[in-house]
Amino acid sequence: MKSLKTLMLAVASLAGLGIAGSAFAQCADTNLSAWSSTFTNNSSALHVVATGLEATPSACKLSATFGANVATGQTNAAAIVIDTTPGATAGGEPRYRARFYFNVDSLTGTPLDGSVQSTMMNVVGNAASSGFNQILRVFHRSNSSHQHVIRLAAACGANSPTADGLCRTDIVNVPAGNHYLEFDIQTGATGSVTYWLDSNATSTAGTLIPSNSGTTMNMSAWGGVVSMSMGISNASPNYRLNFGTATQYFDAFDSRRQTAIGP
Amino acid sequence: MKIRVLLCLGALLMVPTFASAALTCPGTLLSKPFSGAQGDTCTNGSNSITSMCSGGVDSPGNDDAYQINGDGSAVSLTVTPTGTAWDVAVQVMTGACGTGTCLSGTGSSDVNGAGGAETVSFTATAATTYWVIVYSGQLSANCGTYTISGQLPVSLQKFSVD
Repeated sequence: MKSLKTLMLAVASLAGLGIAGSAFAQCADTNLSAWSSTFTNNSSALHVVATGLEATPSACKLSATFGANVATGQTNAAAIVIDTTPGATAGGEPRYRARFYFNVDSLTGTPLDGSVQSTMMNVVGNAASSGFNQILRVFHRSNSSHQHVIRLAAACGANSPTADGLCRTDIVNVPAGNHYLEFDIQTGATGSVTYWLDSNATSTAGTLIPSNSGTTMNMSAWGGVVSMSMGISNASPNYRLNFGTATQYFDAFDSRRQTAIGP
Repeated sequence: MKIRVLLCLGALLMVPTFASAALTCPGTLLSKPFSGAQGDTCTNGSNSITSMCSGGVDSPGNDDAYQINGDGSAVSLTVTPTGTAWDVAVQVMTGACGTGTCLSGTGSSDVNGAGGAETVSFTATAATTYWVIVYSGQLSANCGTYTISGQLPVSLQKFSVD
């Protein structure tokens, strides 16, 4: 049970972003040390700022932005926090549940269309296959109606309907405001990904990402979950061009092996 | 009295030396004195790293890996692509090559587009191994030739008073 303890400690420290803020009313960037590591490059930035995104807000939240120069280069700009504690389990965690809050209200207007996409979260597996190592990617993107769209793309191997090893689903027309997303990844040859958006996973059934065989996903090639990153990364050219200086907010990340998390 | 201090300096002299084998992790040790290096991800590289930094940085094209052994001194390396067609990017990491911890800030560079040089700089902690990953910028699975110039950690090798 060694790795379970590690994971629970990680959860406690991550929740500490909010706890520390409410106790001391200080949303200092020193809170970023709760994470295994952070990554920014060029002009991208991460900060801890007031106020939290939960229904009963904690003191602080995480802000992420690319910066002013991103439009002309920095194709690999990233501003992410990283949790590597799942990697303490040999081969990675076979089951991984996580929940986080986000606010993308700064992404709005006519430029927000189907060519605008950024990655909000990467859940990385123990091995790469089909040219990628992310077991699950959570994207923010849009459409011709300029709506917020949350896309989930999961590794599913031979169960991919698009033959690229990915199974995707879109949550369209996500309104402005604060939201929380929870997912439950079960890896292996008969894996699955269940998700909840603004729905209590402790009391409601989630939605399964579809595959070419119903909802079964063959994730065996990627192993278990070894790390998670949250923030802004791997953005499309039009995201960098039109929203390079936009700020996305994240809060209250929690991850567990078995138990549903809820709001 | 004559004081002699012999330093191992990273020189800017370019003496191209094509790698003869694929520069996949753990890569080729950049030895000192550093006189530059030259590589070709099309010929010698492979797409051994698909993404780095816990998925935050994609590497869809071929990549080359170089090793640097830190000694507490500053490192600054510039990777210049040949021609204007290829968008080179550079990432420095510690821990496991390809899957380790990515250095933030100036330890990563993908500022310029195709044809632009990228520079990384960092202080190399003593007894720590660093990996310098030369790869193709995101959304580009291309490959290309490049040169590496700059300065590796400066080591005091000998001090004497005659």
